[in-house]
Amino acid sequence: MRLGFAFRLFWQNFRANQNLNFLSIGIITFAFFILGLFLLVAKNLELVVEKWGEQIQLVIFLKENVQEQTLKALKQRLEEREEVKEISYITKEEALARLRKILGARSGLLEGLERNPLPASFEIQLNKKYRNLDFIQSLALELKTEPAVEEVFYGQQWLKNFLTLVRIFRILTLAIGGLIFLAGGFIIYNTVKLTVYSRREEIGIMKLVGATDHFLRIPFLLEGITQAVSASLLSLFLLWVFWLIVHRGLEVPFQLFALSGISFLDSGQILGMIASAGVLGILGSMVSFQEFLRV
Amino acid sequence: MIELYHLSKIYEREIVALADINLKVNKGEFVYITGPSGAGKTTLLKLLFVAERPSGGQILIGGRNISRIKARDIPYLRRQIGVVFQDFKLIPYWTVFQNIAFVLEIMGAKRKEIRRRVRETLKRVQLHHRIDSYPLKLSGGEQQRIAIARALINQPQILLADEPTGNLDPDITHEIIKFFVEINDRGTTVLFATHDRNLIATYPRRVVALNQGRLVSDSEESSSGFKLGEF
Repeated sequence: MRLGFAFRLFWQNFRANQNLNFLSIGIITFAFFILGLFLLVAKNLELVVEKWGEQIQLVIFLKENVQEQTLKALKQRLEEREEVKEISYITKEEALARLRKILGARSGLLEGLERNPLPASFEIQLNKKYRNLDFIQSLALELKTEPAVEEVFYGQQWLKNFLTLVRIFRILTLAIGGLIFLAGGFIIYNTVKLTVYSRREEIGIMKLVGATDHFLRIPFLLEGITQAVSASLLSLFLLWVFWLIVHRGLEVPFQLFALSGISFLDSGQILGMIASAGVLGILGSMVSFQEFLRV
Repeated sequence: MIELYHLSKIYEREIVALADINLKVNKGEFVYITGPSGAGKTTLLKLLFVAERPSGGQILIGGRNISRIKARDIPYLRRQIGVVFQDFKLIPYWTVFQNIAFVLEIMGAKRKEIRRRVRETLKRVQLHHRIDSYPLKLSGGEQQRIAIARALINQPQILLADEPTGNLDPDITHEIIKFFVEINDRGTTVLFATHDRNLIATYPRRVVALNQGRLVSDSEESSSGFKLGEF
């Protein structure tokens, strides 16, 4: 079959059934918009979770009168560990200054102190893959045995709650995402299918004058792909406009996103959406072709 | 050209559309298939262009048994048979040219050749001035002539017509039947399903009558001559 004629036939059909095609594209765009919106929300919540995760830290409170050499050696040993992302030393004075800042107007309370009661400390931030409760617990136990260490603090209860929340969030994302993808896919697939179905009579005529299935399949495949892919592009554009509005207008009020900012889908997700549109378009037109058109 | 042996077609719930049909149509013959509604005329034609499969018996076209033709070979058989329907079966959003040219396009003919042959065929049905019109802008008679042109474009050996004048006025009916007669005169075998007795009386040819799925008479085999009143 000449490809040129397939394209001509496709274009002829597409133009002649403009209303139906635009309606289908509209429906598919809506389905993709919902899918994209979900991806966008899930992605940004994940970023928030990640930012919060970065704040997981261990604080090592040091004993009084530890020799500087011992401190240096301890710091170096900690820095060399692959699980440690960043380590900073907080002197007694800095700790007091922080407390003063936190107390604000009531910092006068500290005036009566004869000496600074706050210990010096190391604050350790961990690399992403070590930010789990088991590891942090074992690390804390290990560090406690160091002679210079008085106490190790890592916000045990908060961390436990936070990590449970992250787990629930990820399960929910997968479950809701899976459902939305199934529903969206079903809508897209069926819309393409209906377009072919509405044209079964014409396809029947073409077959009666000797067109092979193979000959007819190509223009209808092209139509299915065009519908689904153009709808996915349109929905991505709408999503981008939506993102711009949210990004500019709502970033500040949304304290939730204050740390991470709101980002758009990455190129992998965008390509994934367009590719899945192509696949659904092909599937929809192929299956309806087999199902309805036995003439 | 066409041979049917003990041909039968039974639909679901034991509805018998055709039973034990034996018929031989020679090359270049013009045969009316007639009978009341539900006699099996349309089913018979459908079996010939394989829109339906027989429940029993054999169909030979040009010596080839098409009773068990493979699905992938059906389109190639259809390209050798012209079919004209009562409801024209034209694609409304294609022009007259596109409707007719499609038959040649699917066979991979060259654009120039397609244009020449479509023009020639439209001249034969006297509608060359309608080449760029859309079917719904044409009268019923004109639409049927376009459908005939489409059936003829490929110069088929066999032309099947299923009540092609069923939707047309008497004047136009005569105009259309003349085309079929002319086509037959040029050597094409014509099977023409109709229940229009006047038409058969005006243009007498071999008449095969069906009733309730059975072949009840064949004017060629009847020694005493066929009487129209028999169906």
